[in-house]
Amino acid sequence: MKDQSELEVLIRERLEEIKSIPARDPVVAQRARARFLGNAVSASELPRHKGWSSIFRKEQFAMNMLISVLMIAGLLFGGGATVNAAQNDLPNEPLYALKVWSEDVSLQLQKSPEAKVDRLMDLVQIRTQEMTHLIDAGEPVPDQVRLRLEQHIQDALQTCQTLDEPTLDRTLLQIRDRLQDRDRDMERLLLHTQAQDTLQLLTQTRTMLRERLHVVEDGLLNHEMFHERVQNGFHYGQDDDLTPPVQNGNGQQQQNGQPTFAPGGPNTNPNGPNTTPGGPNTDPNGSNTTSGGPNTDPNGPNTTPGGANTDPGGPNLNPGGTNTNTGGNNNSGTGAGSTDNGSGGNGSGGNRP
Amino acid sequence: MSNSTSYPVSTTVSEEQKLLHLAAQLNTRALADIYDAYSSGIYRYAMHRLGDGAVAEDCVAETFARFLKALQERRGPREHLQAYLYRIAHNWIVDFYRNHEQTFELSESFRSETDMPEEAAAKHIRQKQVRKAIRSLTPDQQNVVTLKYLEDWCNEEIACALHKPVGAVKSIQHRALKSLQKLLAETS
Repeated sequence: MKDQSELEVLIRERLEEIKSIPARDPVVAQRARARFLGNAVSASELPRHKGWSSIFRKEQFAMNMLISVLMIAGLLFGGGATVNAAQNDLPNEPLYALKVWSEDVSLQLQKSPEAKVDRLMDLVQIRTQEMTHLIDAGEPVPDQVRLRLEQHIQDALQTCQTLDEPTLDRTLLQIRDRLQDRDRDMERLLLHTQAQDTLQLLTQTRTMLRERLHVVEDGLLNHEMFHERVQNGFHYGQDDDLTPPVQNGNGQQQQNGQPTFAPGGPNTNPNGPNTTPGGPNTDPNGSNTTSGGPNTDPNGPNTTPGGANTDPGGPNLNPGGTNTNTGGNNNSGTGAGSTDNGSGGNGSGGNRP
Repeated sequence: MSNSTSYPVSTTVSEEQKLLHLAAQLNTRALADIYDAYSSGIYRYAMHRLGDGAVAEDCVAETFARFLKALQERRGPREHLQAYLYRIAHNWIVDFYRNHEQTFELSESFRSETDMPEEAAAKHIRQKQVRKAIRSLTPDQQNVVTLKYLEDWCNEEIACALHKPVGAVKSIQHRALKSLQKLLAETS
């Protein structure tokens, strides 16, 4: 028994070497939280979409010709009308999910990146209008509206990455103008809002808008910097003070029982090489839902932070990869390309969820 | 639960089940509450095992992504949420080391936080030795050592997380300490 306790003391001493860990970068943590919640929002919307598509699939195969014709007619007239009617719905109304779905579809149908950016900025305006209508009606504004608004802007800036230089200039100018409009909208809304929760949400939204506006304005002056900032999830030290605090469900700032971190916390690997080659998805059923585009090189680092969202649940609400490495190579690929579909085995033992 | 750390789990069993019930319906508020309650602990656990902030963030992201996917596919946990999440994180770390051991070992870098880079380098090497020794243990032993000595869980909590009796946890712990002693003696 004595041996056991002596051994324990000895091992404890050695384990102390790794016990203290540097504080988590609060900006990265907040971004990870936003990404998870974005995926959660998408996931919560997906079942309804799945419901619609499965109904259509079943009917397509099971119905006889007459019913199929009737269904097509219904889709053409009734269905179209329903989707159209849904466009005016607010988040607390029954057809809102259909509206969101139709927006997602409309984005897929855009033929060029410019058109897509334009459509995304339209959607930013629509989200702002929804906020206005809800506030006018004295209703609370759900967080998902803000999250989607933020996502639209990020998607727009991400899409700009694919544009050539002259087109990028033109498009950034358009984005800037539209963001300035939205900033003014937010200012007006803030003046007419009393409810504390809504004030908080509007302040967060405006802070985010202004941060993105800075990114665009700086991008107009320096394209390279713009690309870097978008790739790095818009994060550079100088913008830390613009990052709004993440609120939890109770309206309290997220601390998770940890001490409050000042923005711009320690970089956990300031000059190190890229140690984030993308964690493999070894769960045959698991999909890669972390940000970062698919890593096409099974052994290589993920250098496409902000690529395709492989979460079947819908839009990736925070596609920007995070750069926690301010001084060296890019550690920004926070997610892994899911190139390993099950070849990696389970750890021996243990009950794997 | 030890008060030296800040794990979560402020919830009682019935509260957790209520939360899980809402999460199973993909209730975003419940999912946010779960994330807020457990993400810091998972990050800390991953940092202890990996020693790299960026990779630990990956681990947290993938843990919650797999949890969300499980909920979407209606195969999420019905109880013991914390244990469930830690098992996902543990499996991710095991897979990560299996696939990246060489590259990760080579690229693992350190930052000198003192004015004495030699001392920092020596410390970094010792840390690597300790992590490597832990990785050489069996999965259960790795979990017991990490949860008990780095995360300061008590045996009952570990038993609950590993679905084993407390006696078995003590036995694993004893064997783990013996193995660690041997492994660390070899490396140093």
